[in-house]
Amino acid sequence: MTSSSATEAREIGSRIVVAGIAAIVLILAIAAVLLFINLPDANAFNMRVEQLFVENDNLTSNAEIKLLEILAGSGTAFSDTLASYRFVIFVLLIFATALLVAAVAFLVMLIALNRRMGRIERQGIEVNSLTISRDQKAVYLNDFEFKLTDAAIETLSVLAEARMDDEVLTGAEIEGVISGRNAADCDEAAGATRIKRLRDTLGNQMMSELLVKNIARKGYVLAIDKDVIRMT
Amino acid sequence: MALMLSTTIAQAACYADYKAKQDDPLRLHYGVAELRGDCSVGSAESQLRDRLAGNGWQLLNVLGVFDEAGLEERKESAGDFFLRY
Repeated sequence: MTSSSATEAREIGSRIVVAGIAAIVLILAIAAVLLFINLPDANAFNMRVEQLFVENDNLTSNAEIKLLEILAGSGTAFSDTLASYRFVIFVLLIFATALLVAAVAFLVMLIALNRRMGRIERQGIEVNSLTISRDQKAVYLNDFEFKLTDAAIETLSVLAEARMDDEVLTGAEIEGVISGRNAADCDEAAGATRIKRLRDTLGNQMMSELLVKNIARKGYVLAIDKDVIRMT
Repeated sequence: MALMLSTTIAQAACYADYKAKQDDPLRLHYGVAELRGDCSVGSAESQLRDRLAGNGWQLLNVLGVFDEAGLEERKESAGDFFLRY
């Protein structure tokens, strides 16, 4: 479970990615269409030569006509070359599209990752997944496994269900759900005690996992990088 | 008198020189053809268009009409297409 602001940021980010990729594809598609529209017609050279032939009455000798035909032929050959260029340009456009799309996707991913890394560095622990396993009497936070008592599992389950419904429970309500009685009949202090026990067991184990490690038959050690320790 | 002369010319012999083309690949030719009936550019166009289309050519324009006196000077230019169609 990530915090709601992180989820929102991710949604906005993915929307920006989709919009950016769509814009790139659109721009390059327009470029491709313009490319195909604007290239001269293969017959344009022939038409120009034909016009020349019609407009000049003295262009009638055999040699001159042959020359005109050769001119038209070379023009046609050139327009064939242009057509192959057009294809090459089109292929390059497709490559450019793919590369730009990948670049935008990676850029946004990088920004998102940077932000997340920053948050993780500040927060210390970020819960990405919380799995409650009743039969093993354990809760899995990310990759860490914490053993809990039955009562603590029960409390955590109630809190998790309430969180999924976006509800906030008072101590009396927690006690009410767990004991099965009406919340009005329950004591606020009883719920608070349950929370305290859950915090103690979970907190102890988390500390032992994350900060003060107990190495069997050897002793205790702080589970942090020694470079980050400063004494003032 | 002039009218009579022109009719005799028309009856005697009438020729037109024209330009035609073929597409794909572009081929051009200048030719001279004999006309039947009315001796004018208009009738030459209608006659030649049909005659050339039958041989796979498209008429571009008719330059003018003339009688035998004009034949010889155009013979060389027309080449293969001198009185062919």
